[in-house]
Amino acid sequence: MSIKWHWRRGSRASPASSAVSVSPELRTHLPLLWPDGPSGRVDVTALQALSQEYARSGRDIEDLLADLDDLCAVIGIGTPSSVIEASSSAWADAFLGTVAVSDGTRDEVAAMAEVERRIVRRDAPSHWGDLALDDRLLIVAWDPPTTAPDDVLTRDLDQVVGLVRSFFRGAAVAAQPSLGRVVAAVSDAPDLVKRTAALEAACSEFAFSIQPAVTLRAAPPDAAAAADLLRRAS
Amino acid sequence: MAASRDPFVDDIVAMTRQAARDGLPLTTVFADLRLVLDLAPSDDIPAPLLRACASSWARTQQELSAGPRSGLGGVRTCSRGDLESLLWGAPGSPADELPSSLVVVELRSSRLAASTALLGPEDLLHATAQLLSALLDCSSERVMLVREDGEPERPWWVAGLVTGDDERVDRAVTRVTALASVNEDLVVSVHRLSGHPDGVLSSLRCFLDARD
Repeated sequence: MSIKWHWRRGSRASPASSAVSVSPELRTHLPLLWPDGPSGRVDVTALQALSQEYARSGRDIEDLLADLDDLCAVIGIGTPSSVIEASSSAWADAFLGTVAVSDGTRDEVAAMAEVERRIVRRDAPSHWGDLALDDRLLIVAWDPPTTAPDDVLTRDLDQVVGLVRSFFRGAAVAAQPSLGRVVAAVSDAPDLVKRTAALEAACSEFAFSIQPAVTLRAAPPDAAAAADLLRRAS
Repeated sequence: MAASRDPFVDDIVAMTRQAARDGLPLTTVFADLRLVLDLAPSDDIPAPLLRACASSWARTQQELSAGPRSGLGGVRTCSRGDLESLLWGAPGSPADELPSSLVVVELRSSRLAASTALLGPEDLLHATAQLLSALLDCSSERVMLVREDGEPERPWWVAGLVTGDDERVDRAVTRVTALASVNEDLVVSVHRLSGHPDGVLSSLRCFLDARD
């Protein structure tokens, strides 16, 4: 006989995994949003980064708020006003940035920082047990490095960024024009290998002069290793 | 955005929509909302209001940024509520800026025979809206594609608010009817908004209620 726990609203916050089903992509964000555990404070920086990523990947503010409702339900609370305000403000700022900044430089730096922040392995199992998932680093690169002219490279990179976003919802994705590749922090979900294969197949559908290779790397153990991994060519 | 039952939330949503059109960021809308609610900067705004504001701001911005790209010129998509809120400020407007008539273009049936239609139903309405918008070029005139909240299955329709005398209304109707005669799936009608004892907004509401 199995017993289902349902945490009451207002009770001391604790993970209520059996009461709520949350997608693996979202579960990645649990330890990011609540680094001190379910009854701890919300990391506003992580919340803003998540919200901006929704805007950048073209997802609506309603999707963002609905996903945050699900995440808050996991820890047994209704979504606090402060979370709604901070997330929708960040989504709105990123949306205006997406529309207004045409060269995308500012956005690129922020996107890269988010990938870096997310792939550093966290001190699991900590507060979350099996509920939280780590991210892994996904790299889409050309081998040998592409020699395409800048405008073609930019177009190819944009295409790959879009593909990664569509195959890995909730991923943090960034283009690295200097290294001619795209990097992403993707959730280490059970179907990760299948999705990676699907992404590879999709990449081959596009008319790139050389087919890019898709590789998966384990989460680096610390920030220094993450920085190293992201700055050198694969 | 689902139609709200709470008139206060409706007011806030309308305020947010205008702020978004004026180019104000969402953080400014929230700051204004605190002033309206007499809240300190550290106080929480009630969650339902935050959600309503966020949705309204985002939708308005998305429509504004989508507009020029889709080549629709001055035509916006809106809901029945948006249409009504356009006329909220009407009592304060000079009489010659009040819309005198509403030109309605709708599809005879939501399903067009694929073999005879060159354009899909939505394309057809877009084309009509663009034509109408080229004719109705006064700053107080508006052309909108209206979709009913919460009823995605219901076909869109075109609403043109005309300011001016019967001659101007007739000219717009004639042009749109010419297009409609080419395609028998379009139905054009005119509803007079002026002359209602309670004003143009009430007149519009009577018309919209009768459609529901």
